[in-house]
Amino acid sequence: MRLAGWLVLMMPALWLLTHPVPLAWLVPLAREQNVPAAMRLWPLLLSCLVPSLLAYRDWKWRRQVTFGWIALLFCSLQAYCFNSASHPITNPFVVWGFLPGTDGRHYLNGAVEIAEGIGIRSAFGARQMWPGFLALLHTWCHGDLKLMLSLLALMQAAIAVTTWELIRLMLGRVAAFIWLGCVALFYRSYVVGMFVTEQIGLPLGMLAAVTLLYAWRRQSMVFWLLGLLLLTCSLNARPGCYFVAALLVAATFWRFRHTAPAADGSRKFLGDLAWRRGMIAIAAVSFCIAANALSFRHLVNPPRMPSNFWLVLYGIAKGGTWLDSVRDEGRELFDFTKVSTVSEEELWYGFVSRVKQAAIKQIAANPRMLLHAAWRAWRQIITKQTFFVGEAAPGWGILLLLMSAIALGLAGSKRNTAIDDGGLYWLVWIGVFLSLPLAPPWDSGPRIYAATDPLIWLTPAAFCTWCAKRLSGRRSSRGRAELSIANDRQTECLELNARLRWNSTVGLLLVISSVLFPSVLLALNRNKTMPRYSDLMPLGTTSITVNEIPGSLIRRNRGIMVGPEKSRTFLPRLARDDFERGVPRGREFAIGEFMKELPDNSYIAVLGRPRYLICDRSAFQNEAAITRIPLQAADWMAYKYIFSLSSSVAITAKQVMILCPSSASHEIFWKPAVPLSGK
Amino acid sequence: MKRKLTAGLKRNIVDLLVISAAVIGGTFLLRKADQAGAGKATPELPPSPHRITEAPAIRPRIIPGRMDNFKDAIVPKPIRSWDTKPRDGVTLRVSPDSASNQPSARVLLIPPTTAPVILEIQYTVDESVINMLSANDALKDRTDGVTVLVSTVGIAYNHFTLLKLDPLRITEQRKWLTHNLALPVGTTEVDFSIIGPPPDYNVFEDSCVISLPQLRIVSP
Repeated sequence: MRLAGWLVLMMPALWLLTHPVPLAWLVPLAREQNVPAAMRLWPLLLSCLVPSLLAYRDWKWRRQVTFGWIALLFCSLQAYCFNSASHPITNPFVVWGFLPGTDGRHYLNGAVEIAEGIGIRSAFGARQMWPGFLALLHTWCHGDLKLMLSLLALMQAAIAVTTWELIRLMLGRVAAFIWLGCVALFYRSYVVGMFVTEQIGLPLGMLAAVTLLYAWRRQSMVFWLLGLLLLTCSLNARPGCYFVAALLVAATFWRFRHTAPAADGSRKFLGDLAWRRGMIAIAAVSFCIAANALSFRHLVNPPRMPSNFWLVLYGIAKGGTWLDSVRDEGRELFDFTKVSTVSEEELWYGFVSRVKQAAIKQIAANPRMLLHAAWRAWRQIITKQTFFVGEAAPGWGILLLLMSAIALGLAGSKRNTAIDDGGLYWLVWIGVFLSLPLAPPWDSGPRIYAATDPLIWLTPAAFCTWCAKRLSGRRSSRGRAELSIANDRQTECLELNARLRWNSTVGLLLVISSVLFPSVLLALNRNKTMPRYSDLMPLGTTSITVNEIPGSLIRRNRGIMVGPEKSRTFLPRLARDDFERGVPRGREFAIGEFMKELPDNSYIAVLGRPRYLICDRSAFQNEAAITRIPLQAADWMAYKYIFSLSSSVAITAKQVMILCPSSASHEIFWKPAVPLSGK
Repeated sequence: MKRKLTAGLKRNIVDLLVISAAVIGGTFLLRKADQAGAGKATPELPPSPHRITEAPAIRPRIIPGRMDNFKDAIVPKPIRSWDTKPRDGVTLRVSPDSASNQPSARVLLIPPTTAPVILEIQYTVDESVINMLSANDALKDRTDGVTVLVSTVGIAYNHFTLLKLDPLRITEQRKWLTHNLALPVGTTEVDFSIIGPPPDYNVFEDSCVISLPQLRIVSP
C-alpha cells in the first residue's frame, strides 16, 4: 500500500518529464530574462517552502507527498528544458536545452569511451568519476540522452528529499526550507539538463554535509568517517575547496578527543587528542584519494593531460583569469580566424603542459600574487554572495550571507546563547576561505563549489534553528508538556537513524558506482565486438574516412528533430524558431550558421567529440534509423567541428561556403566570432 | 554485536534492493511514458520534400547551354595540353592581376534538365602552368593544389562536388581527368569556382582548365 503511494505520488513528476505541457506552467520556475527579477526567485522559493508547511504536523502520507512535491519541483526544471529547448538560465554548457556543449560534451565523450571499452582518451586531470558514473548511465539507457537526464533529475530529487528530511529532523522546518531553497537555486542554475561534474558533485556534497553534521553533533565516529569519505569523493568528482576536507580531518583529533582527566598544560592538550581516531580519519581520506588515483590510471589512457588547474594558477599569477593563459600560450588553439585540422585534444595537451610550466615559473617568481588572489576572491565571494547563487537572487544572497555571519558570531558567544555545532560551521568557512585563492570564483563561477556549498548552506540553516529555538523556548515555557516533547524526540531519533542509514546507503552506492563499477564496465567491454561511437571519432586527425554510420548508434532521443515554425516544442522535436534561437554560437558560430540552413524535419544527432550527424527523415523508417546511414563525400567532413552529413541531406550554397569556405566567405563567417566560453 | 551487524547488513541489502527496484521501475515508466508523450508532441509528418531522386541518369551526346563568368559571356577555346588533341575549354585562374583573374564560370542549361542526366567534366591544370611553377621553387612552395567547387543549381535543391588535383606534386595527374556529374531533374545551371579549402584557404596561382565535351553553345 505504502509502495503504491510512493509510486502514485511520483507519477506527476514522471508525466511532466515525458509529456508536453504549456510552457507558461514552467516559466515561473525558470530565470528567464523577460520576467521581472522578483519572479525569478519567489515562485521557486515558495515551492521550496511547501514541504516545510506540510511537515507542520506529522500525518500518514506526509513523506510520500513531500517526495512527490520535491520530485515535481526538480522535474519541472528539467521539463522546462524539454519544453522550451533552452536552459533555465541559458547556460552555455547545454545546446537546445538538451545536447551537451563544451564541458558536458567532453564528459560525455569520456563516458562513451568507458562504456565502449576504449578508456578515456582525453581528460583534464583526474576527473574520471563523473564520466565513470555517466558511462553506467549511458549503458543502462542505451545512449538515450533524454532518459539519462530524466533519471538524473529524479536522482537529484530523491537525494534532496532524504537530505531535506535529515535537516528537518536535526535543525527544524525553517532550516530545511533554507536548505531546499539553496539546493534548488543551485540546481536550477548549474546542474539541471547538463552532463557536467556538478551532477554528481552536488548530491555527494549534500549527503556528506548532512552526515557530517549528524556525526559532529552525536560525536559518531562511524558517520564522521562516512561523511569525510563522501566529502572527499565529492571533491574528487568536482574539485573545489580542498582545505575544507583537510580541516575537517584535522578536527577529528579535537572533536573526538578523550574527556578523561590527564596531565596539565600542553601535555594534557596533546594527550587528550583523539590520535587513533584522527589517524583513522586520515587513512579513510587517503584511501579515497588512492582509490580515485587508481581509478584514474585504469580509466584514462596515457598520455594523461595535466589538470586545467594550471590554467587557473596562471591566471592567478598574472592577476587575471584563466583566459590569460590562452592569450599568452594558446593562440593556435583559440584562433577563430583559422580552421585547424589538428585534433583539439592534441592542441589542448600541448597547451596545458606549456601553461603548467609557465604557471609554476610565474608563481615562483611572484608568490605575492597568491595574497592578491586571496583578497580578490574573498571580496568577490562576499560582494556577489557566490555561495548562495547571489547573481540569481541578490536579496536572498545578502540575507543568507548576513544570517551566516550572525551564526558564526553566535558560535563564539556565551554558552546559553551559543549556536549549536558552531565549531563545524567555523571549520567549513575557514576551509573555504583558505581554499579560495586556489579555487577562485572568477574562472568558472559558483558551480565549482558544488561539493562544499551544501556545508556552507548549513550555516544560515543553523541560524534559523537558533531563532526558532529561542522563540519556541519562550512558547514551550508557557505550557507545552515535557512528556510530549520527550516522546517526540524519541520518535524523531528513530526516524533520524533510519533516514541516516538510507542516506549512507545511497551515498556509498553513488561512490561505488562512480569509482569501482566503471572499471568493471570498461574491463567487460574492452574486447567486445560492437558498433562504437569512438570509431567515428578518431583522435589523430579530424579528417576521417568513415563512409557510413551504423544505424544502431542513432538511438532514440540521441538528437533533435527540427520542426516547422510555430510548431510545438517538446524535445527531441523543436520548433524552427526555438531551433534557430539555440544554435551553437561562440567557437561554433559557423556550425550554427550551417544548421540554420537545414530544412524542416532534419535530424541532428550528437555523436560526440564535436561531431554531429545530420540526416533527413529518409534516414529513419518506423521511427528507427536505417541499418547503415550512408554519408556524403569525406571532403565535406574535413573540418574541425565537423558534421557527418548523410547522403540524403541536400545542402545549400551558404552551407557549402561554411563547409569549404573561400577567402571571402571565410571573412564573413569567422570575423564575428565572440569571446571564449569556459572549459 | 554479531546480531546487530547482521541486522544492519540485512537492512542495507533491503535498501539496495529498494533502490534497484526504483531505478528499474523508474526507467521502465520513463521509457513507456516517453513513447506515449512523444506521440502527443509529434504530428503526422508529410513526406519529406528533400529526398534525393535516385532515378537512373541518361548520358545525352549534346547538352545545349550558354557559358559566362557571371557577368560576361565566355566562349570555350581550343586548348592543347599534355600532348593530346585540342579540346574546347575555359580556364579558371586566380591571379593578382585583375585583368586575367577569373576564378569562376557558369553554364546555363537551355532548357533545364527534365530527367537526370550525366554531364562529363574534363579538367586539368595547363601544362604551361605546371612547367612554369616547376621551374620556380619559391612559387612552387606557395601552392598546395587546386580545388574546384562544382555546384548544380536546381529548382528544389543544389548539389555540390569538389574536384581536387595537384599535378605539380602528383605526376599521375599530369593529364586530362574526367568526372561524370549527375545533374538532377530541374537543374538550371552548373557553376565552377576555384576555392581554397581549410585550413589554409590558399588559392595562390591556382588555375584549372575545364572542358565540357557535351556542351553545345547556343546563341541567346
